[in-house]
Amino acid sequence: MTPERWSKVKEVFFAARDARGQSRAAILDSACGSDEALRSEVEQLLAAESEPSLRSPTADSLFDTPVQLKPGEKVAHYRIESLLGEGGMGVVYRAWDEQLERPVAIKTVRSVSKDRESRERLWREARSLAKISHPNVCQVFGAEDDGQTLFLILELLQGETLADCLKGGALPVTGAIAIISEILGALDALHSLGIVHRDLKPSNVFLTSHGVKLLDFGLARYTRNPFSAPGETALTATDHTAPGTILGTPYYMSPEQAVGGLAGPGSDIFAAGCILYEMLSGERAFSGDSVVDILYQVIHVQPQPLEPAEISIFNEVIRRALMKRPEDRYKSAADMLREVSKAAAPKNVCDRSTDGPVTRLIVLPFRILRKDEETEFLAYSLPDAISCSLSGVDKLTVRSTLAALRFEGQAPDPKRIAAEADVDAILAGTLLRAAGQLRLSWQLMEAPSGTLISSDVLDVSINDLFQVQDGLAQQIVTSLMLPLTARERRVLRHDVPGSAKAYEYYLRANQIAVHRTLENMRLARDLYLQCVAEDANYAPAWARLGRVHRFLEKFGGESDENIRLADEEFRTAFRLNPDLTLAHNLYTPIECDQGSAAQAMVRLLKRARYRRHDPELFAGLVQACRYCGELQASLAAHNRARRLDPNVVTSAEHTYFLLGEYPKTLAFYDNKAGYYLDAAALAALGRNEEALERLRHRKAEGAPTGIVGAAVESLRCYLEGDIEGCLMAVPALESPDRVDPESLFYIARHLARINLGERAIATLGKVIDSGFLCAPSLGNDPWLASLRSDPGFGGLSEKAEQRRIEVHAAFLQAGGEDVLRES
Amino acid sequence: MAEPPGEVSVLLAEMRSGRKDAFARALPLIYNELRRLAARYMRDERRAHTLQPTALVHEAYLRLAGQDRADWRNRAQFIAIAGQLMRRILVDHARKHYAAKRVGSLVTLKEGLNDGRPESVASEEILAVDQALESLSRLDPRQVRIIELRYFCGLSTEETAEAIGISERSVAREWALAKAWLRTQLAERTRP
Repeated sequence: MTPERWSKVKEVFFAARDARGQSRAAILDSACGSDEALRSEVEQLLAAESEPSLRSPTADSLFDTPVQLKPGEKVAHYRIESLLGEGGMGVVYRAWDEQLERPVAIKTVRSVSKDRESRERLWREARSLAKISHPNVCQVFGAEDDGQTLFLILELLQGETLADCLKGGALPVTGAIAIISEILGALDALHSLGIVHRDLKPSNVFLTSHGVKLLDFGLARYTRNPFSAPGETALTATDHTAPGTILGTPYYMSPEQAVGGLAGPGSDIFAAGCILYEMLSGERAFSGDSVVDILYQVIHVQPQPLEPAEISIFNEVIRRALMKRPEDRYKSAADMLREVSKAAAPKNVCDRSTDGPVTRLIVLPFRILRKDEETEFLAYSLPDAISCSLSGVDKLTVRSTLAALRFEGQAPDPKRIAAEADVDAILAGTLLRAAGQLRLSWQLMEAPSGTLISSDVLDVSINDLFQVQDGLAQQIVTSLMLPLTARERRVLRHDVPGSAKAYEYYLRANQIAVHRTLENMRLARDLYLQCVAEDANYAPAWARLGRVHRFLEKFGGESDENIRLADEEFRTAFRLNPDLTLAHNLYTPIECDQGSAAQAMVRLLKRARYRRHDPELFAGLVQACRYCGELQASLAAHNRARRLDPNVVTSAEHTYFLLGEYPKTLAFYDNKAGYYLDAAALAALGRNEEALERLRHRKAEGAPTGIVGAAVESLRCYLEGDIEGCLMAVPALESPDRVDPESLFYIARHLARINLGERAIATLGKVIDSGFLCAPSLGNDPWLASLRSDPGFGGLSEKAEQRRIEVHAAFLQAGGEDVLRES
Repeated sequence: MAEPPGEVSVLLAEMRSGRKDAFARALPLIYNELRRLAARYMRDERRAHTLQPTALVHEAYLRLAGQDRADWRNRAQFIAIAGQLMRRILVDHARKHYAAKRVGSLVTLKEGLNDGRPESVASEEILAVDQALESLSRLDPRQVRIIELRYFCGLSTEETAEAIGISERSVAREWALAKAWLRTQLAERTRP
């Protein structure tokens, strides 16, 4: 072509382009005449114009390689540390979260979809995955996007995949059942949120020291699938843990996926059936030499029944799970879980051979035979430390030190103590100090008979005092002939500080903290601080220090630092001794305050499986379950705690308050030295004068500060008719501090009561976000009545309901129904 | 390292006054700045968004010439040069990438065309456009400039009109033709 010819082409093109239909043809006719080549050239151009538009290259194509991150590079505020591996969906890195200062895993997820809409859908799904909080689901912390690649920020897991584990052949039955139970619990939780895993297989099941974690759920549909319609079912690509695996070998694929149909919850059940079969037999349920062979098996063949008797009991479960039609399989993962447990039940009974009689013990305050300032503090604190040590023994229920205080200073009367404290054994002792030596005489006796079980006299130097605790605890265990597990033995040994000085600080602080006034707690704090300065490895002191800081935050309101310190101190305690009963029980309120009630609930429920006689643990569950909206479970935990120890202190009155049972709230509360709840219950019953009287009285005595103080003050002002004061007392919602959501809930009630609907709803939103789910008060609390017609209320109750569903799934998964079954 | 601001402005003014070597001296300065900026973008901000060439060109202009009182003639001239340079950068890169893929393992048709990246244009396509422009440059150099600015630089009609010094309407018409023509050329090249 020449430039002249090109000019001609352009001229005709522009002329024809502006015309349409008939007139376009006419223009072409007259302009081209007999020049067919020119006409065809222009017609081609005109036709090409209506094709989809050209896309310009982006400058990103200058950097062509798939996203490869190097150590030190950053994705948002995550600094890459190392490559962990490559999976079907992308590359996984270990990284450091610079904001929250914790290790995370970052997974690159390639979207193979071209259009913006499906990328946005991928994003939406990533966000919804980030909302899942379940102990057996790898937590998605968040997602980042650079326009082409989605980065999922995940919980960093330590352990191995089930696929790795299965390389060694079949698993022991108990192990297989434990794993499948957790898988099914996680699936149940995912399915209840409408999420289907779609690609469940052993390499997506991670075994950690905290149990099973499911990976790669829900996103599987975005990976390449050579077999089925795009965007629907899925196969992930290579399995990097098993070199040589054919790309996307469909060992765990359901028949409906194999024929290119839709994956549903039933597909995950099918995969779970395959996994159970493989764990028990060491063989894959479906296998073959080629992809086609395997798919044929999946679609048409039933696997060989399992042979030896001990695993053949699961044949029926597997048969149901592996039905070819999804509608013939278990309706839900929960159904399958139930059947698995049933099939495994006879063995479980044997496993519980550790069940046996439990001894209930009380350690009385020691009597000081010759009073002096140097030893007086030991009267209470030494028995307390011993109680604390012994509380790690499951076969022993040790009464709280508070309960023991009632019997202080008298010669023990076994009959009375047995009746009042509900115990089978009593430890009593006397202390005599003489010239730097301390003489402890102790007796362990049966109650109510008073028969002596054993007794001894210990002479120790004041500087070796901490050996008394250790030695005495051991002797009691031996005398009572309690069988100890290895874990319990370890716990017992763990409980002794490294120096006499540290021990003295610890005991003195404990002594002071018995009566919980702000002044005492501040003193105790200083002593605990000195204790941990002396011995930084003494876990009980860290836990008690954390408790004191939490108290100061909640009632003293003196420093925003307190709650953070408390949390750190408990973490230190757990790091030093993950099994410390004291820490597990004292941590619960802090965890709840910090917005992690669900985590607290799961932690306690799991612990309750082997700590079935610990009243404090169940007292903690009263609070955690209430925050999670499990009110019946909360009351069941209260009953359980009271059966274990009639004098144990729980927070059941708050549960009754949520249920709207205000008279019961009062009955539970009246014998406590409280600040707020009794007045709130009286006000709810319309007994405003009585409520006001109590609040005025307390104000005169010195009101608490902190969030509880705010609740007290705003209620008092409301009852005085001082609406402005009521509002003024309410802390700013924007305040960045984490506050106890339950106290904030009470404040939101006041706001609703004075018709500040919008503010009340915003506050309740924060309450729910902080893990206090408000059930069922959104529906039935009379003080929230004004909100129910508010336009924002629908969204609020929807949010609460959504959280409830998630948390309830976690409750079931942690065995909540089993643990709290009324017996 | 960035050249001291002002030098490019001086060179652009010299170009207008007819000094032939000014263009040759401006070219490497602008070229290096574009590459440097692209590399920096990819290091620091790749997470935020897809990097558009037009952003590079604008930033390079601001850095190299924009500090002197913005002279619209300088700007138009600069952008016209940058258009050619962006084409060269992108094509060089596509060529390298294409070669690397040819010696690599088997690539499926879909992957090959797509580069596995939903948002990026395949290197094959960039190379095909470049070759088509090569033959067009003998027939219609102005059309080539328009394609460089619109396709390789991602400039708008308005910016393109300003850079070349013709009306927006002309740019729109010429671009419509250019697109249609490119498509017919690309279709021919991918035909077996």
